[in-house]
Amino acid sequence: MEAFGNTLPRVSKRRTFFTNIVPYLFIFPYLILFSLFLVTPVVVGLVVSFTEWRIIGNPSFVGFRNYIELFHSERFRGALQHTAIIAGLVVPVNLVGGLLVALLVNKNIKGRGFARVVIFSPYVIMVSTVAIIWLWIFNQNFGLANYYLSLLNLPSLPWLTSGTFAMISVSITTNWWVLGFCMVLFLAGLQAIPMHLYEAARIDGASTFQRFWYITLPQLRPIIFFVLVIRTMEVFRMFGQIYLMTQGGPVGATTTLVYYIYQAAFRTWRMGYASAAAYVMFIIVFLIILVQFKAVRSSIQ
Amino acid sequence: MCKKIGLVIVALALAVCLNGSTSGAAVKLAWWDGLAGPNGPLLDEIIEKFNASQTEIVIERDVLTWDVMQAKLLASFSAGNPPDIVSLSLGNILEYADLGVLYPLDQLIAEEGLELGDFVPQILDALKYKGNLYAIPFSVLPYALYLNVDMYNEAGLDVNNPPKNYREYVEYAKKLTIKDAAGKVTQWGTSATALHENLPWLFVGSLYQNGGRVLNSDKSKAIFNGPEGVQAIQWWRDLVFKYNVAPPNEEDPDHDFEIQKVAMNTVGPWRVPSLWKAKVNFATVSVPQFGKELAAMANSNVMSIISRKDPKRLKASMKAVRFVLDNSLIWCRIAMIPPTYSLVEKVKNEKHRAGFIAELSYLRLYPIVVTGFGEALDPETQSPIRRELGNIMLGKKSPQEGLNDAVEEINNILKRYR
Repeated sequence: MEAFGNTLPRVSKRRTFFTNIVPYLFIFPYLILFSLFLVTPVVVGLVVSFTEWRIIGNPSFVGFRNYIELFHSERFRGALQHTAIIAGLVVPVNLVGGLLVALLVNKNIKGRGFARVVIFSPYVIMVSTVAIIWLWIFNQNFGLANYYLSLLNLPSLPWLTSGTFAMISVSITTNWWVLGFCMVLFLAGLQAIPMHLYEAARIDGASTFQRFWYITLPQLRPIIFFVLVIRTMEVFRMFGQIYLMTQGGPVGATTTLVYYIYQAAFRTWRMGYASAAAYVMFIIVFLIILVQFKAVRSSIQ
Repeated sequence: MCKKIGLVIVALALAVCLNGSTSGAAVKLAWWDGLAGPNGPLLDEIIEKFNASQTEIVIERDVLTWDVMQAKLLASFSAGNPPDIVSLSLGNILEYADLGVLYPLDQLIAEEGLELGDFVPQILDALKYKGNLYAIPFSVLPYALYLNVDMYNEAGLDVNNPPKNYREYVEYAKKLTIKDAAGKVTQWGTSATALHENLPWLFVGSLYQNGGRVLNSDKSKAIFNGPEGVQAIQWWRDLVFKYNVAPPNEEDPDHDFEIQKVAMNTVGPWRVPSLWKAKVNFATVSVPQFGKELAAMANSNVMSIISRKDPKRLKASMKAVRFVLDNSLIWCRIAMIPPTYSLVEKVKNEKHRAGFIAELSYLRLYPIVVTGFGEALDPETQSPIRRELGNIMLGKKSPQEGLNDAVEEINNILKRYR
């Protein structure tokens, strides 16, 4: 017993050391990349946001000047407003539309596999292709959308040439593109709901709506929250559609936050100002997600 | 077996060493550009010809989109690995020169024995900063008027007698505009974009023709909101709202001309290849003179050499630039205009060239400022000039109001950079 007692701790210590270090070794390559390409730029970006820097040459420290300019900038406020409007047009449709479509293709109907593939397929297309397809559709004078409107004797619409319509068009494009992704998430959530809950409810005489309201929705809450957070963040990061479809136009009406930051950084070479704008955007997104967290948590409680 | 493997390894190592030593003798030059359009393969052809013509220098070309190239270039300066030769857009040359990343070419040009007097002078003037030349053009890209020949014929108009002034332009556009029985326009007489990057070019061209200027003499202030500017944009706006001969809210005039929905469009020679491909029956003529002064807008493809201390690389870069210039007829095979008068002479009788070439003596360039161009005047971004001209063409602001707003915003930007 004594001998056993003498040897065991030594082996166990070595084992413990290896057991502890192995997981870190596994994530070490990722950690290096994460630090290099995410943590470092985030920290450097904060420092740069207090400077005036044209990338080439040395940055000069300007204190809070970039942040002050941002808060006085009509264009920045405009970009913020455009982003909020597009988020308002995209996120609810993603949530409600994604859920409805998921409910539909979750039913035991003929051709549901095919329907799932068709609805999900836009999501696998690159944003550049998506943008080109919808640019053709939305061309005001010779596009497909207005052609069909004319067949119905309806007036043609300025899909990409009026500020309001351009935002709607970008939102339609985005919804078409990502609805399938939201559907898959909701579908996974729906299929994880235990069937016995529905069976019990049916025995108790619950209607279809009651089963949806009292079983499906509460059970899907984590998924709904996940889709809400992910999609809100994604919309704030929206760039490809804007860059390819409207270039922030017409007359600046679809200049979103990320497009504004891109222009400040790479078209006007104002790295400090662009970094400050990126940090303000980070704070805004962080606050929105925080509110969403609180709201969902209180609703669950 | 082990011996055999050993022999193979030694042989491979020798092969690698020998190969390395052969290519090591040649100076490898990195060339970056954003010329991915139909002419892109022609630049490859010139570079391949250069690489085959001698053994001391090898050009390795990297084609990117303009935006990506700009971002990559800026990053490469910080990282210390910029290319040797770069083809920049005219709007950025002075800013890069000011930052000290472009090499002043005057001495290299003298050593190379390049005759600058043969170049179209307006382009060279735009490439000078503080008395030094920072780029060499390998094409001139004048804006000309494109006419759809079939539509002209159907309207009973003669393409050999194109509109010369604004009155004629409106008259022709009216004849070329066709409506169906319900009164819906099925063919527009002319384009007059509200939202395309061509709009600032069209406006500035008309402003010059009207005797106006975009910036004051020391380029510290925008001054285009005077009566000359107001009338210049009013000409274009009237085509949409007063004469109803141009599509309202027009997004892409080049595309509209290509799909034969508009009969006249003003743009540079880079649109010719896609029109040939689309089998559009068209002619190119010099732009009509809306105002009292002769003026036509022009852009250019240029080459700059990046600053570095190694004189061998600089000389090699200049040799490469010289070769591309001397072979620019290959690049200009698809309707571009060569940068020197002696080369222009060789292409003047080719199809679709005459209209562009006739403008060479009165070409004018888009205004450039050393710092703040991208933010204030860039036609390709949502800069104040493009945005406010768009507002005017969409009918959201009056010409005076829109120009005043643009000038005020541009002056605030320029003031910040001073």
